[in-house]
Amino acid sequence: MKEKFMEFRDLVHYKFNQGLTLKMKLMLYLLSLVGGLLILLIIILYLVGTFSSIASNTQLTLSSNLIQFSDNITASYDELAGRCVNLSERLTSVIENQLLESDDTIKSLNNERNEIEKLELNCYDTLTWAIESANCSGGFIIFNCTVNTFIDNSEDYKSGIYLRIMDVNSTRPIAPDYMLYRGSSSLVNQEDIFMHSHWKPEFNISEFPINTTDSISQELYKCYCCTEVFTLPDSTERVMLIYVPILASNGETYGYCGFEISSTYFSLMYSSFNTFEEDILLLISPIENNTIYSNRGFMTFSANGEYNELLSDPISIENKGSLYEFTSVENEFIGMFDIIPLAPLGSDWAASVMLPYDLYLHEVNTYQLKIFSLIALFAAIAILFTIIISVKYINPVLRGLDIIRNGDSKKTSIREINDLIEYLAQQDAIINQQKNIDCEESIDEATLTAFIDNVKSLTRAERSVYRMYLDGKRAPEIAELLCVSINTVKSHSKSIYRKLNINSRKELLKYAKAMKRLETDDSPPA
Amino acid sequence: MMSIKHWIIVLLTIASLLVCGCGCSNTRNSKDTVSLNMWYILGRGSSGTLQDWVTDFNEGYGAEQGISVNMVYGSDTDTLTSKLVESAAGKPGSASLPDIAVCSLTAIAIGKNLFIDWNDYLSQDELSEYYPTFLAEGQYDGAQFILPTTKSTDVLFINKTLFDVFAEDCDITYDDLQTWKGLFETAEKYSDWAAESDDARINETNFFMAESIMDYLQLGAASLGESIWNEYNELDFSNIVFQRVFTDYADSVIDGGTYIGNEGVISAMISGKIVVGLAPSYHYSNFSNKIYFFDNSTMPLELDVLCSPYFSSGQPVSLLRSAGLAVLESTEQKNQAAAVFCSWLSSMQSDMHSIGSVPAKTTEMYDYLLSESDLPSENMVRSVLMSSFLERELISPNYSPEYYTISVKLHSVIADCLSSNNYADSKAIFYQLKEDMSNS
Repeated sequence: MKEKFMEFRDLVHYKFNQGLTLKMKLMLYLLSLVGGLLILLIIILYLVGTFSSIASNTQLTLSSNLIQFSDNITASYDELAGRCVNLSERLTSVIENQLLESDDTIKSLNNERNEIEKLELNCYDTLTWAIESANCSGGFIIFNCTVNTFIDNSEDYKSGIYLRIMDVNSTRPIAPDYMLYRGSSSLVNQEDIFMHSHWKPEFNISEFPINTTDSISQELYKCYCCTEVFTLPDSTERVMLIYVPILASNGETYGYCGFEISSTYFSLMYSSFNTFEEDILLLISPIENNTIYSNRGFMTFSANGEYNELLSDPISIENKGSLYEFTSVENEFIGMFDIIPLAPLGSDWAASVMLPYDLYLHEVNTYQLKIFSLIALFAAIAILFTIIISVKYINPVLRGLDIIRNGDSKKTSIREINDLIEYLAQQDAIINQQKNIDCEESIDEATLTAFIDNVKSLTRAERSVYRMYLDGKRAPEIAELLCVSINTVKSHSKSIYRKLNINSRKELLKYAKAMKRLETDDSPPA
Repeated sequence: MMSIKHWIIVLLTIASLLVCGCGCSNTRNSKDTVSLNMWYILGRGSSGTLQDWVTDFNEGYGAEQGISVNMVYGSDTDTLTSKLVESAAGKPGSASLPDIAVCSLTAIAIGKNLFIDWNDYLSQDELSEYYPTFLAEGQYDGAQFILPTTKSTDVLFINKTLFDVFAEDCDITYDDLQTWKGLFETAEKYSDWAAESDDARINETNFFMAESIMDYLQLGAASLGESIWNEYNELDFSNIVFQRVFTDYADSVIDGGTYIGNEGVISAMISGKIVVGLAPSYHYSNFSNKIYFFDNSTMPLELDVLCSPYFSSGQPVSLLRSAGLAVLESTEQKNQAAAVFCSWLSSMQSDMHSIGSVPAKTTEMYDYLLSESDLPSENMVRSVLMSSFLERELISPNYSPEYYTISVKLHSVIADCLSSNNYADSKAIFYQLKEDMSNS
């Protein structure tokens, strides 16, 4: 490598010693200037962080998405919890009113179909009012009683109402249509609502991840729960429930009530927070030991559905500087997460904002390609201008040099060259004058007399050659003009020199000039 | 040495390539996706498979074409039409009008100028692939507003589990359900039989229910060669046939044999309220395999299907059911995208139709009806559909714009009259109905 460099350096030195053309030299200086400016530009771009801006922009966008997303989720769930508590308190009042009428307890309603249907009907309006004012896709009430204690596993069955909104949409309908998922079929007729395709008259509590066994010793607002996301029994819809107990004044538990958030509703609600690209994924899920369990959480739908299978995989999180790397079995993401307080009881939850790693790389590469393309474009344009400027600047100089070389007296567009031409012309005149003086001084009178006499003795052919010498022509030109060979011209020249007693063309011209001057001086004035 | 011209050409070429390079990197998301909102009919108690087809479209052909369809709202025909009317009228708080509606011709109650005419988007060759009767059902004022996808007809769904117990005790067969007279007499017998049963669950069951009273009335009148509508698209209360068809039904309600309620046949049957229901055949795949009674006990549900009954003094007829695809006028880009989606959906109909419905295209329909399945239950349904579509006269319900308003009012008035228990005489109910309808 070093040898190659030395070879190159020697070559450059050799070329420089050989001498560069003016054009090349100017171009080299301009190219050095362009190179210097490019290096300066790159340094400035580097210092202002242009090269790393896509990474920091991504970080900023993910960060702002995460803040917005987690704040909204937290606020939304907090409000839902508050509405749960409010619903519970209202239901306590409704249930107590009915039980007081007949001096019953909730357990005494077991096997009392009419009383249970009446209770469901009495609670229906309270539930629909709560659903319509909450951010949810449905709501439910579970009573601690069943319509039939004589069937198998009757301890698992609880009466109640579970309503789901039919027209789940990103904009809440003013008066939504409901589907009865659980509850007495008489509600369908009485309230003119739809029956869910997987309707059943009662809850099988073992199918729902609702904890009914914990003793409730805390304040109501401290004991609301969020279930993990589960598939609604008999259907394919994934939902999460937020619920609180319904407590009687005497501490008895009447049952549970709460709201449902479906995966469709979650996706419709929170996709709007995505301000970056359609491929960004927003996820809430339980987190344990740096692993998030997307199958137990919600994720906004990706635009093309490509990552929806992610829901079945746990995703491990690893810190990679300012961003985190999220890795599942088949996919890799970069992103950020935040622990969010969804409920005082149950798992820890994380809100995550993730961008597919492939997409991130693509964005970075695209951006860098753009920057380097622009720099290269700048360099190409600079080189183009370098060439044009060199040519435009040097060409008139070269033309001037040609004029000087030919001894023309033409003017150029460069004042300095014009001055030089003028100067050179003056110098030529001085030299010629000096030459004339020199010539006059060396003329031999005897030789001149013989020259004048002998000129007349020249033959016709010799005279032709003699005249052409006087016209300033040289032997090859004379041969060409007279259509004879150069040898013939040389032969004539020798003969002329011998007859005129001279030795060279220069002497011939000198004595011819002197003869002409004598003839001019002797001639009478006109 | 290269001349200056050569240098300039080389450098300009490099510059162009670099500029192109910069531009190309921005083309990844350059294709805009046209997003279409769709409203669809969801029968009471049913959940269709349309969602699966829309998902297939969005992930496949739709993604290639840059079209995405969102199923934003599903409801029954009346509710959907009602919501369309509200949205078209700009009622505060109402949803935005969809781009595509799976609906019947009643939806044009909102204004026919709001829909595209399929004649402008499909060639006559393409339209001629459809079974003419099905196609005609979506025409109004010479325009093709509804493009049929699959078609079904009203059939009798029978809870065989309960029916067999009753039939054995009372010597009843399916032959008794061939005519309306036979059906209502059987319903009366069932009412007596159920009342005497020791099983409290049976005590509360009724024998028969029609999903839509309007459809029963139209079917019954058509069977007798008449229509319940006069030339002004109003209910023809002076028609004696209308009165007879109505009073037969009302008598059965008064006798307790026929159930009248807001829920559909599926809901009523799976909650143990009825034994036999007249409903569109496409509901077949939406029945669960269990009945859940009011006391949370269950019973297996074995389903049988029969052709709809007819009046013995008339002739067997079948009522066409199911909706089609309508596209609401929007930008030309959206109209075209909606047409692409609907054409795709239509081309998939030989795979799309569920048990209980037939493809709307002639060739596909015959292929389906004349082939045999490995499943006996499917063959039973296919046999009923073949009789209904190919051996009977096909009647289209009166899907005029006026139909929607009258249908909603009539249902409410009939339900009020029949459930109030103030009328012991069905003729009195009929006259009350006439009076109420006239007042409205």
